[in-house]
Amino acid sequence: MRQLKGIPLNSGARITGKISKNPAKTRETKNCILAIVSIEKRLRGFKAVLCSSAIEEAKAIRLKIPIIHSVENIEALSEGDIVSLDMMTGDIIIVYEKNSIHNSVLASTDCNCRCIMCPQALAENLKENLKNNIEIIRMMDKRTPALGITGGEPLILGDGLIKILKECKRQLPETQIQILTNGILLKDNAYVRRIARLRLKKLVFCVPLYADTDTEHDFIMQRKGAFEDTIQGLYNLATNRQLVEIRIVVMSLNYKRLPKIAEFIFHNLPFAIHVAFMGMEVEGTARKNVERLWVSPKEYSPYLRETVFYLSQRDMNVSIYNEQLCLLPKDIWNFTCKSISEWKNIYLEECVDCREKNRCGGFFASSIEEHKRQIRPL
Amino acid sequence: MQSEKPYLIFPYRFMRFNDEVLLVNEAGEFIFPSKDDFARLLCYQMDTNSETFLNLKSKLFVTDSNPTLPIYLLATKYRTKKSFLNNFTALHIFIVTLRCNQKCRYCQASSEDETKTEFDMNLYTAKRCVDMVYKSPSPAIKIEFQGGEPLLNFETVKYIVRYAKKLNRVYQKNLEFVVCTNLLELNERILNYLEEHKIWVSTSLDGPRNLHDANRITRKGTGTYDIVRKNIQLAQDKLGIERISALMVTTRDNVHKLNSVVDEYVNQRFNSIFIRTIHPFGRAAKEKLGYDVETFIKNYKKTLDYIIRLNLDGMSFSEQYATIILKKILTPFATGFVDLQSPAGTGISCAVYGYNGDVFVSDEARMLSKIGDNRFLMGNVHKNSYQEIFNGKVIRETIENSCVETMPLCSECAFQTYCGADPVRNYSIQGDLMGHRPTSEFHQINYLIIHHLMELIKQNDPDIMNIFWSWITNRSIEEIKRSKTG
Repeated sequence: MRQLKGIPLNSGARITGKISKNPAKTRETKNCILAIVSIEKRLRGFKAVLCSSAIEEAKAIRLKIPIIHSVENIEALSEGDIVSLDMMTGDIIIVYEKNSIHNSVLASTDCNCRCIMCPQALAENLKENLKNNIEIIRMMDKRTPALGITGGEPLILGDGLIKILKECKRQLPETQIQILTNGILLKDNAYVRRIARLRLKKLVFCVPLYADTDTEHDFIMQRKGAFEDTIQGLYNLATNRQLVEIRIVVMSLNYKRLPKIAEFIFHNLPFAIHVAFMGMEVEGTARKNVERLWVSPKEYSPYLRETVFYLSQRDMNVSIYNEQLCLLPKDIWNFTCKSISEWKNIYLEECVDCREKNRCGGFFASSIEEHKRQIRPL
Repeated sequence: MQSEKPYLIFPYRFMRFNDEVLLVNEAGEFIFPSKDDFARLLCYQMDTNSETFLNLKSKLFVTDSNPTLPIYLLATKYRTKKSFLNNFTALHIFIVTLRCNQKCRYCQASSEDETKTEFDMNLYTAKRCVDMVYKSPSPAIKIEFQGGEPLLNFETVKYIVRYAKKLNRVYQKNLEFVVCTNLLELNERILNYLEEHKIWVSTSLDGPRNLHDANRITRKGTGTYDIVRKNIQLAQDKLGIERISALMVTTRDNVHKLNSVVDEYVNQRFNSIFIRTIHPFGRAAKEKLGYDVETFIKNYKKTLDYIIRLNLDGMSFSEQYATIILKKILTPFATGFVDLQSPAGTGISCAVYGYNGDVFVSDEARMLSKIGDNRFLMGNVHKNSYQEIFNGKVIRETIENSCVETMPLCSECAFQTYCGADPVRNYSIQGDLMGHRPTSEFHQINYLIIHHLMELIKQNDPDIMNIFWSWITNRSIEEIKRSKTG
């Protein structure tokens, strides 16, 4: 997530709040963190204050409010963003951007799988995370178009996830909620039914499928029986009338069988409302295994092309995420979307002169080394 | 001691297909392994990490893992494929009159003279029939008006529409009407009525004037082409092009000229054609309008080629029989087409109500009755209850004898999942509900058409596959090629 930094004063705790740029007191002030250029007078009711100018410590103490001063780039914060302040270090973590379509809640830092291309750093779940997440959702704007619920594996929260979804239903009734799950725990039909009964208006389960057989899928997921559980989970979703998106990360281990995966999806999972193919994000475990997993988009694009045409010919909704136009055949550009979160997304020097930069997905900042070799302006 | 087998093989059927082998499983998924691979598969000598094995595993022909999941998937897919059975009878055909203003040479209905109103369905019978229709559990009900010429008894048609709509206010089913008419009687008043009640129109067109008029003639013996053409246009303009479709019958007269029949359909703004074989019933048999299987297949293939070429040139035009079979082969979905399913659609998918309230399993069953054989008469709406008619001996026997899964030769045929049975035709031609495949034209024609389509699928020409998918998904070629919108 995007971060800013400043110098903390007056507190050592962690503070989460919604950005306000209006120093006047309103009904919402008690949840708000004020972001201004400089502090002139005493401010009442705010949780904390961020300012771009420096402030003397003596003056700050008199103000009796947690302050982070000397914040660079404070204009990056917009009214309605939600930030989490580390008052020990002065780190300002932007956990929600009101004007972004890529917001998510990190529901779980733990996972029940150890996929060989996982880009996440995993850690045991802390109890307060759930409370924090619910607090953050409560502060979100009602008009938020989409919100991802990610992890780790969000489903291992069990009842916790139900609480999060209830909060989403209350606070974000019109938002498309996407749960990113490996689907394994969806094999528990009673649990799926509980989620279905919440009747969220726009809830989509985004479930990865790395192969068309357990032979390969289980190996990639590093878990025996993962394929069986996930497919059973997908069927449970379908029978409970939940919406399903299938996500396929393309890597050296599966790119040659992409067309077969598409066949498997059309014949066994035709109820999927969306099938998305995506490039690898080289981070975490994926970084460790990069030699074994990386395949250049140039090499897999013929297979990807055959695959997306196979599915779209059959009237299935298919997209390509995280890919660079200069590495894909032109006739499948229509399938690409800009899907990398703004803060993770970069372009290279070579991209400056590219005519198609505005349409292009760009890169994961983390995969830059692997990509550099082949990128060229169009 | 026997060593443990390295993998499990699920049920499938197979045949030699050119230089390879075709395997089709119960769910209709297929694969073409080489003969060597097939032999290795059967001898349990296949490397479970090989690509061929993974392909077979992906399509649920084999597994080297826990069989629970593949069996579950196969079962789900099998249920899906057979889901046309879920809702029981949806198509209800009403013979509102036997009178007709035409005397087509191939007519199987052996129609009556225009003046003989005693062959009209009266309002009382019509009411009893609609009541019977609404006993069907199907959430979708299609009432199709046939004859004779149904427009000659338009009062009964209107009554049925009114009464069905009234019942539907309570039952809330998805109710549709179709009128099968030669269009000779069409006028402004009728058109307005069809528009108001959103009634679909199905008419007949056998080709350009010379071919059409060869068989489709008035009772006085004059041609009907000019008036049909004029009225098709009228109906298209008034109701919309999508709401009117046409059917053709292949006879000895047009079997060699099917391309010109296609041209005629294109000229008359139709976007599909259904190349139908002649049913050897009634007058058609007497007049010797038939042809041998070889002639039909040769010309069917030629015409299918021609239609594919039209599509390659940018036109969106489909052949409906091929579309039905392609759907069965290429998609996991059910294709309930009453003339090609297993068990047959007779009675359970469609029922025919005669002018006097007799209920038959199909239109051919009614023809048989006309010549004195009531083998497929399920009952009469005035005399029998719904249970007696739709759960009686006739429907049971007909269905029990129309499952290709149990029929000699069909039971082991690789094309089984794509095919179906026609017990009424078997009975009327071969004297037996199950029939005798080696001498059955129905079998030969379907076998050859499926084989031909399978060959085209195997060739996998991207342009032709785009065309096939445009037919299956009912989208234009441009839509398929544009690949993605929005």
